[in-house]
Amino acid sequence: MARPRRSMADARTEHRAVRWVLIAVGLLFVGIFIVLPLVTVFTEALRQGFKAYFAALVEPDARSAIGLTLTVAAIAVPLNLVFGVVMAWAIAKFDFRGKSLLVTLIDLPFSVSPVISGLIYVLLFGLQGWLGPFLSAHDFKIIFAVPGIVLATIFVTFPFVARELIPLMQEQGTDEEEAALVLGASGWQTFWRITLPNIRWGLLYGVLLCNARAMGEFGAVSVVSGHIRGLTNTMPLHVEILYNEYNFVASFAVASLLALLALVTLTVKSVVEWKIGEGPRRRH
Amino acid sequence: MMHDVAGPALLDRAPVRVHDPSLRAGARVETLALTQASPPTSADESPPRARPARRGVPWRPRSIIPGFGLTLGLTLSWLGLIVLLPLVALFARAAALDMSRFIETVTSDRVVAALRLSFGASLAAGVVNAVFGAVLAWVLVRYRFFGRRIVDALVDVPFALPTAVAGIALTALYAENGWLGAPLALLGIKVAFTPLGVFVALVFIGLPFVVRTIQPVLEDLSPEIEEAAACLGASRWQTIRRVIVPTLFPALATGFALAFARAVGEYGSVIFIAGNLPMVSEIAPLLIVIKLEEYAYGEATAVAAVMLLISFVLLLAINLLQRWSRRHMERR
Amino acid sequence: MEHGPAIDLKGIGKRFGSFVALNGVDLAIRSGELLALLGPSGSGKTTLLRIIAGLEWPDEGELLLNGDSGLRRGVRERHIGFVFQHYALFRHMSVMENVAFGLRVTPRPRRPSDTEIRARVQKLLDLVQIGHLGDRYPSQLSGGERQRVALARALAIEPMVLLLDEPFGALDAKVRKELRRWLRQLHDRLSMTTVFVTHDQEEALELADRVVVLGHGRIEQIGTPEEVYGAPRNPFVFDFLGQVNRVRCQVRGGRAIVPYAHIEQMNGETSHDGPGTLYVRPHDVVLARDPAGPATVRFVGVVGPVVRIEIEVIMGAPVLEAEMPHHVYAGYRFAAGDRVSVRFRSATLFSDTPSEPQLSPADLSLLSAAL
Repeated sequence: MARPRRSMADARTEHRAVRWVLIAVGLLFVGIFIVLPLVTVFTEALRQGFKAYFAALVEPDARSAIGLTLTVAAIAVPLNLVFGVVMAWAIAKFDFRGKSLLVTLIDLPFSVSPVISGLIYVLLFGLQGWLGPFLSAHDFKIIFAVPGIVLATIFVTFPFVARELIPLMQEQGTDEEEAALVLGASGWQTFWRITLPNIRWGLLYGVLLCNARAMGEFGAVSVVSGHIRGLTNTMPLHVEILYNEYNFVASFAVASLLALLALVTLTVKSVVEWKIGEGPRRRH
Repeated sequence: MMHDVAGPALLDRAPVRVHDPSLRAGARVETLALTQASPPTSADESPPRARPARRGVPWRPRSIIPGFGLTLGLTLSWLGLIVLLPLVALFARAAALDMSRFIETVTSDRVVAALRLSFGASLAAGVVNAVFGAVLAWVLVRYRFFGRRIVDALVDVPFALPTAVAGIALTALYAENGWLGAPLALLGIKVAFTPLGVFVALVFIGLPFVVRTIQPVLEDLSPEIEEAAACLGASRWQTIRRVIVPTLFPALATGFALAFARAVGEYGSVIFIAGNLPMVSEIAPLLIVIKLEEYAYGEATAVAAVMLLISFVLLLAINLLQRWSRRHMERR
Repeated sequence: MEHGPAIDLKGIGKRFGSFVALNGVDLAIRSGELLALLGPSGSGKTTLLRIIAGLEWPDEGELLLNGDSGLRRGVRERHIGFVFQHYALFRHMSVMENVAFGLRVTPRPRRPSDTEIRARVQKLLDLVQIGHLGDRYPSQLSGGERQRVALARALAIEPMVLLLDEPFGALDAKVRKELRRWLRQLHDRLSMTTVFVTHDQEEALELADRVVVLGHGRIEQIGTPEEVYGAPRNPFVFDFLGQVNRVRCQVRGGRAIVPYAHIEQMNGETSHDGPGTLYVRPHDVVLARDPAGPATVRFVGVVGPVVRIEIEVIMGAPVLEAEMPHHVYAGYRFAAGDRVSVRFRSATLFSDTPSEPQLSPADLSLLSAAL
């Protein structure tokens, strides 16, 4: 007996040809806009071979740029981690007036242009800023110095951890915490033993994104840093300087480090998502 | 502590109660003297009790889950310090601007051209991302093909990759001797160092927003809806057009809004490929940076204020559009 | 403790925004009893349970636990066992760790040693008959097993009161029946004051020593299962528990008159003459074959051990439902279209509650004219 040509499953699929065309279009789109640029970074970096590549990375200015980037991230990420958890707890576990306004404010740095993120700190701490005279009187530099870079980085990475945790914690609800309380646990015990284990994967993901952005931030840091080689240059800024000097290979070499960081972040993220079994999709 | 420690432990008590039928009093279907139907509020078996005067409770916690005061306080402090204080500085500065100078700055040809480029290219890139992002999301959710997982992970690259890295990579790719730039040059299309380059860069960084916003909605789409449409005789295309697209529209609008907002403020990915010629290929954020380097804080603030204002208005419009479409859908 | 009520609620009131969840609730729960809070959704039963536990706070009223004011204490200090509707097991902990949790977070001075905790936990798991599942995780357990873990966990801290929120709601019928029986046995064994919330009347009637029927935030009736079913105090309770026929009648001289049915025993009185409503249980409706009878059989349904018969007195008017055991039906073998006479073995009169009259006065006059 001949098999029926259409079954009920076909109610939800398109004709085969249409499917393959759509897949091709999608793949082409991704290929052109994502794969090619990624590959370009590495081919350009290695254009003059491995020796030139490594030489560019161990050059003193490059090393201090790497060092500064790591330092800034080491300050900004833990701070945003702790405060991100605090903010997520306040928002997800309680109901109060003005909650949505608070969430909007927490999300604000995410939607502000990086240049404007830097601008506001210049307006606050710069020579002609609000606190400018106060700072120069005390010979304390924020803008065009490391503190400014740290502040601007904290600003742009402010929402990352909270954004990941809030929907996760809201979805998990308060049942388990209530159960722990009824059983006699204190607030701290409840948090450490019950809440934290439940949010650990979302927390890890938030920290990863926070770190990737902290190390790779360009616009905001560019505005506040002053581009002083060897002092206030982070890796992205160093990439720009090298590029503008037409030192392409070195520029791409440093850039490739950042690209590797991005790839590692994405890989860990995929592993995490696989582990929690196709959990809630990430919104950006 | 009220727990009676002296008594035997829970599990060691001898079973005292057997299922005692006499405790469930025998049938007493008596003739009840019924008054009105107002419900009794005291137990009918215990002796009548004078009802105590209603009074408030002695003390009540704000909430059962602890830590409200602490976390809210910390949140507000941190938020105020890092986000609100600097933003207030911005608005104070903007408010202190001399109105005539403000208008002069904002309406100068250079600024207008920069704003036009930033918003125009962002809109165009947003539209392209909406279309292709939707296709990509569909393909990733509905179809199975080799490498699907990898492609899915790659979608996040523009989000995770530092903007400067993206900027130089795109420039190298689309320059006249680049892998894509060369074939395009043969067709007479110049991408690098033109507004077209700006557009390409903005498509790059906006790509994940639409895809990631649509994917969860697609995944949650109940299969029964499509099956019902098919039962009723709709063709595949009709089902997509009349059933699926309207359902996806709010998510699509949201994704577009996110991509657009990100594109308008984008700096790092764009300045390398843009060419940065004033009046031609100069984006608004770059203009702000230039003005800052000239210590023209006032003018920089003015441009920033206008950017924020226009973005706010546009996003509000998109938000209203979303809400309208959602209500429109629910009414059906 | 046998003196005085274990839990005493006085004048409890609770609002959520403009919604009144509880209003003037007085309830004295006896030590050692198994009490059911029964009512439809929105009746406030879960809110009341959570107030006892300390998970909600009343807006007014007093709560005494063994004579001491309970409201001065937070949820942690009340030492009450609570089993949540969806169990709220700690998903990242094994069964053993879940049950041990309450013991592990006891303040250090009173905390038992690790070995002792493990021993106690194992004993509890054996008590609830899942002793072999100690190392499993909640996601690996069935609904019934998770329920028992939740119970063991609540019992681990040796509470003086056990509260259960719709304990068997999420389980399928067979498991539910088993667990009901098992809960009753456990209660007999431990003789702990136990309060459970349910919307399933069969569950409440089968398990509880006393049933508290709640409606719209007030207590409608408290009594033994036989009392609330057999002698309901008001239409709400009558309606909520079991099936009921609401029959329009005329009241004359304090007695109810139904033109087409003979009433053997009438409960309730009213001083007003005029229209009224009689409440009759289906199993109190007795039918006999009568070619000249006022009612016609419309539908006969054999439902296992009972037979339900719908009869119609006037075309289009609401039908009455009669119920009889199968062996009684076998003697009559009613079929659709048969004419029957109707007797009410027992009927209860509640004044001025014509919620859904089955016959209007116009119908009645038409009927009396026809007869």
